[in-house]
Amino acid sequence: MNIREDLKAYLDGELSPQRMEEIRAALEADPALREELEFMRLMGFEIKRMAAEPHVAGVEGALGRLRGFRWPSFVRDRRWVLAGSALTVCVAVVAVSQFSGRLAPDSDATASIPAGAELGFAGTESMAKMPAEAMQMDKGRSRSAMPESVVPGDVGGGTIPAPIPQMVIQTADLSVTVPSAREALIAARRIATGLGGFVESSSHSQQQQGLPYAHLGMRVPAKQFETALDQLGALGEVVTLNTSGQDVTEQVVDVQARIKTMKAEEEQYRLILSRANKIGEILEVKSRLDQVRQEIESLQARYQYLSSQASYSTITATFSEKQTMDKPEAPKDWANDSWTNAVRGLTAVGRWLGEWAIRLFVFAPIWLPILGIGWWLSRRARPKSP
Amino acid sequence: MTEDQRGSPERIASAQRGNREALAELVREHYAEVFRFIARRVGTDLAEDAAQETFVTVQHQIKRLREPAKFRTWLLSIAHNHARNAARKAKRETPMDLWTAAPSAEGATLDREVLRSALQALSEEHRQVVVMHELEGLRYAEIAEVLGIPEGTVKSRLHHAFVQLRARLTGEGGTR
Repeated sequence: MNIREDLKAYLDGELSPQRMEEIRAALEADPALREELEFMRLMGFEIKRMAAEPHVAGVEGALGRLRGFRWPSFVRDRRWVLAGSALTVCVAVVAVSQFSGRLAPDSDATASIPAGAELGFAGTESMAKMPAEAMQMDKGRSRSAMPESVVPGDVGGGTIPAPIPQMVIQTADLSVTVPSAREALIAARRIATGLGGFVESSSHSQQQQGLPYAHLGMRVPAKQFETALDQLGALGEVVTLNTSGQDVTEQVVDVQARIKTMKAEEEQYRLILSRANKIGEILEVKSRLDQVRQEIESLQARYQYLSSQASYSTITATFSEKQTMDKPEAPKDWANDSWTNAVRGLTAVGRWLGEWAIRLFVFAPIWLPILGIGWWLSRRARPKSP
Repeated sequence: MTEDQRGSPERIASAQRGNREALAELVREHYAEVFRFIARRVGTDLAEDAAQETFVTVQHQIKRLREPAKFRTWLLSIAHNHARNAARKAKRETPMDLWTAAPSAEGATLDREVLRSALQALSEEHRQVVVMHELEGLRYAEIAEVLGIPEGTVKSRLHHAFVQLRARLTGEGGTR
């Protein structure tokens, strides 16, 4: 190893004892090396002498800074302050947006709930190839919304039932694939009569493809609506099931009230008629009485129709044979599907980002001060020199 | 206070436990050294603030010091970082105003003016180890720890720095 490279380290005593001995031996043998070593020693000596001693200042300031107010360590670290502020802002924005979402009467959350969930059969539900469990759940939900009983009052006799139970006109449109359309039609008739209902219409024919199918329109008591759907569905595989319900309680109450009013009016005319002496008066009152009577009968007919519709649910069933559903499917356009799905996904993400940007903007009066305070605290955690 | 009591392990341990008085004593003991250490790198105008920052960092980090015996090296490492940050902010290299160039005494072997310009001509990293070793009195191992470089690199840098100084001095007729 080059002796000269270790001369400085030798001078500083930074070599191993063995190396020190080697250098010492080399120095004794080489006057030029000794001169070089001496020059290094002189340079070190002069460097020390040349160095001015800086005037020390600020020790009290340093002590003052250490004695000063100390924030907790997590506050002193600006990263933690920023992270905490960001977290607080996010939580605040989410909480406030959720809270305002609940307060808003027409918020998306409310709008996304199917009408049927709130109104029972007041909405329309469609199910395609639904699993049996889902179908049962849906039926269970529908069943809970069914009126317990619909008892029309003796309107003709003038007694109005009060209070009126909820009256809902229920309809269902059912499509079932079965092994045999004809046998399914016969079984469906039995179901209708067995449940205390009746068949309104039925037909059996061939489809264009040559496969037989059957159609059946039936009315069953409202209480048996779910049972009928269960039994019809059990005839084969349910392809589609559309149920709907129309709440007519308000209409019934309105009709009842109008009947009551008209009846009172009728009684008044009858009293006037009994006291009338002139032919002209009698004819005029009788004419008015006839009009009132017609209106009462019209309202009663309306009432009976609504009661009947609510008392008996309407089910339309179509039975098609299995083969019609087993046609080979056309090859799917997977590329188009993928493209469509990707565009939809991108749209959804864009919308989501947009919604959040709007929320952040709207809630800026809340999170901006928090962020500002966090920034201020982090700045304050680094006190300035006194 | 004797030299042995400076930065004694007991005092450091006490400061690590949160004893503010012990910490204040450590500040009093080491402030001047830290100030000079920084001043020789960034100048006295920036040294005060950087020295104070150094002790604020010490206050926050002293619990992480595992070897109290290496307190001085650890302290100078922190000071070195703050000095480097201050120099970077001020876009400043090691100032030369702390090197006096008073006329050499009659019959002096080396011309101080030439030596001063030779020091100025050194690269920053070479001048740094010269200052640390010759003025601060740090050993090679300590310099290596402060700068975070191998000890062999310190030795090599010092050797090359002195070779360059000698070349300048002898080449420009600095030898008398």
